Amino acid sequence: MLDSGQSMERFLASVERRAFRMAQIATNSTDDALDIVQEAMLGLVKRYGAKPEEEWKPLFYRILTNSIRDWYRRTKVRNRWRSWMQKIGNANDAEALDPIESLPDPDAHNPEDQVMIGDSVVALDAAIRTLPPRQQQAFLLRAWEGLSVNETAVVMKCSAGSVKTHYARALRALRKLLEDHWP
Amino acid sequence: MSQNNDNNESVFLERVRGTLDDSVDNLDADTLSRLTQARHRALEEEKSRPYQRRHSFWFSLAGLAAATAVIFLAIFLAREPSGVQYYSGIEDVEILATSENPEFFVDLEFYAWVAEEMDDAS
Repeated sequence: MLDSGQSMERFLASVERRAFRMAQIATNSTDDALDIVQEAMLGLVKRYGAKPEEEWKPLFYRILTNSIRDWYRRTKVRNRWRSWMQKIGNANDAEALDPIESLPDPDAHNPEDQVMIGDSVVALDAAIRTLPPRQQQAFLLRAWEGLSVNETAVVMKCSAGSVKTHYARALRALRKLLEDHWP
Repeated sequence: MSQNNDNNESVFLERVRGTLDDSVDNLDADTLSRLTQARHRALEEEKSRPYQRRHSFWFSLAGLAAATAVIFLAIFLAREPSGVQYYSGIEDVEILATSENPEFFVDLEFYAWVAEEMDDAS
């Protein structure tokens, strides 16, 4: 018989890698993904550690998706702020702008290009990143984590119908994006 | 046609799952180590929770006792003035400065009564 600490450790160890990958796909950043997973682990332990073990999985993924959503919000605000500051900077230093710096990086790949890259993982990650966040979540929770429609609805705080719609759209888009890569 | 599409979908989903599982299996050592650290930090939090709960209970109890004591003290102080005579400092100075014998002030009520009786008699 495991005590609650051992049960929690076993549970966290069983979900941490997938959770990390979900966060990494969403954020495209290893550090941000690790922060999000840690936040989700702490949140589960602090708020729901006393709940029955069978409830931990949807609760954990709920905290994880909330943390990812918060990350999107923060990033959006930060990007707005940066672009605003950049506009001010550009207005002040219009003459000092180096035209070479503004050229696109020839080694950089946009998500559509990355789908064409040989590595399956890179291609899949890139394809999933092209999806809207809600479709990403619905797809990964249903197709990979194996949550039911109702469990996914609880995690995503939406109706079962919305989950089905997000999932169907995500699946269609991914099949289209990857059809050349995965014939 | 529909069955063929379903089969294709199943094959596609299997491939997606396999690819994502491979990506998890091939996580680098640094990431795995950081995930383990994150898990241990979360579990440390859980271990400290019963301690915090126990202490917060005693802190609450102590706070309640202190609040009760303050209330009783306030009630006691509010009732006390009715039984205590307070004299102003000015009255003390007047008594000390007068040329009357101190015994006069001890029997002050008696003299007041005698004066009233004499007034009534007249």
